[in-house]
Amino acid sequence: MLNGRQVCNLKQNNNSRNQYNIMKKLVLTIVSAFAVTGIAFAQGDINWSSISPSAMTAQTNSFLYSPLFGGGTANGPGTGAAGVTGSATTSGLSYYYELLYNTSFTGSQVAGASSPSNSFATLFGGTWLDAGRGGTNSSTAGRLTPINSGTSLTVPWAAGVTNNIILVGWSANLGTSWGTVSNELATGSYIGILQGLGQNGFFGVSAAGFIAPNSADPGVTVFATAAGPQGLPINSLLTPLYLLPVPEPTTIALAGLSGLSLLMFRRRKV
Amino acid sequence: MRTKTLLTALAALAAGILTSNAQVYSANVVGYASVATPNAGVNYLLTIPFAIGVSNGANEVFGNNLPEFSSILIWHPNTSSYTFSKTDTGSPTGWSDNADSPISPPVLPVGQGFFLNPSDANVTNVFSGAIAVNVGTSNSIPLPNAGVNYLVGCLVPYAGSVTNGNNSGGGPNLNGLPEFSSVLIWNPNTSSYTFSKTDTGSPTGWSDNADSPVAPPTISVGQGLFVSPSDVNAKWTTGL
Repeated sequence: MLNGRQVCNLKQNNNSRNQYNIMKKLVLTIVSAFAVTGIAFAQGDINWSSISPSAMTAQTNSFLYSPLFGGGTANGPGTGAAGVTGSATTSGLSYYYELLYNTSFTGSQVAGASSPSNSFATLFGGTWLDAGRGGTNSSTAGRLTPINSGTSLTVPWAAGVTNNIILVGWSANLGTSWGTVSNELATGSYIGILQGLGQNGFFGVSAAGFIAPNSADPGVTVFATAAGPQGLPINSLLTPLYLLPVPEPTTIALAGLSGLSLLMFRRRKV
Repeated sequence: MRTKTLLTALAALAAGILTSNAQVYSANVVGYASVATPNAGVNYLLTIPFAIGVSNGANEVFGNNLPEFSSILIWHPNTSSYTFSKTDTGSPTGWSDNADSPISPPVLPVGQGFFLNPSDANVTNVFSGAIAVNVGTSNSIPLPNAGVNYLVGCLVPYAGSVTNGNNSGGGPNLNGLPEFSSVLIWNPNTSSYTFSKTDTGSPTGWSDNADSPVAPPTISVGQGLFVSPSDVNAKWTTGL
């Protein structure tokens, strides 16, 4: 049997132990948070003062659908050669670009993200991450200019670490941020947007490169015609921005009718 | 950076000086330097050690030697920022900014450093002109503010340790820097700087950022460097 004082001591001991455990958890949490923060904020520098036209230009293709969406031609399969193109400022639209990276560098250049060997999921399923550096079309057709330019801007991985990089581009009628546009493309909600506007939409992906950022000013070059000491910059002249497939309203109506019919027949069977 | 320098006129002029009976003797010296920039897309920190053309404009310095869309970064010490320009045959001036608007060719005066990023590999740049310091004289690059990074280059095409020489000549002569002034030497292959500072407590007169003694920095002809003086009104005096 415990007397009142012993019970009181035991409670105090339990309280102290609980407080100790809470403190211990708190310290561990803080340490872990710092560790995670250290990883999350490991940042190297790139030179984002210019997007060199010697290595990166873009053009729209109003005839071919993106391989990411199954490819094919706008006029149906087998209806002629590919190549109805125009520079990315002559189709009456503005364009945005975003630098993406992934951490799966294996020592050589990966296939372009729009290659048939890469799936839709690799681009939008979290494999390619936003590096936080964007651009838009310049006043000269086909050329790009950085948004928020600088000779030493950070990217979300550490100096000296090599990661794969690509540049994605899209027509501005889809949105201004990669977060918005990638969600629209992944969910198909871009279809309603383009139908509402009555416009074509375009999307494309550059050839891939790989770079190890530095921690100096100027930062590492992102676009160049050849490999250098810091990796293989993006070299992707005439990057195609493909037409996005948008079903005709009549097609959607027919699909809707088909669905309704199926539901009706199902009910009758039951 | 691999550099190769040929100063062909210097020897002939030196012979002339020997017969001048120690009078103050001013004469223009001409020469040329060959500076290789082997990798495309890599930043090289250069300086032009000769007066070329009317204004040392990049069009006069490089002529048509640079591949299309090669870029130059000019440093502004007061704002610690760069101005970007690139070669662009589509521009009426031959140069454009990062938004493709035509701009005047950047000016690359003797004593100023700049970054060159060639768009193609294996470019060899030959700088040919008059040396900016007359024989028997000296020139100075002002470094007026303490703690400010100045992107500079030697006024005379000297190579070697920055402690070589004096105000009359013989080498780059960065000997007059205030204590704990710093120098940054760019390595294009690692895309990084090597830091060193003047330090009378070091047996070499120089130490790194951990205060360990290091050899004085060395430069090659045509190589730019950052200098940050620790006191006001410093200057880099070079003689010939």
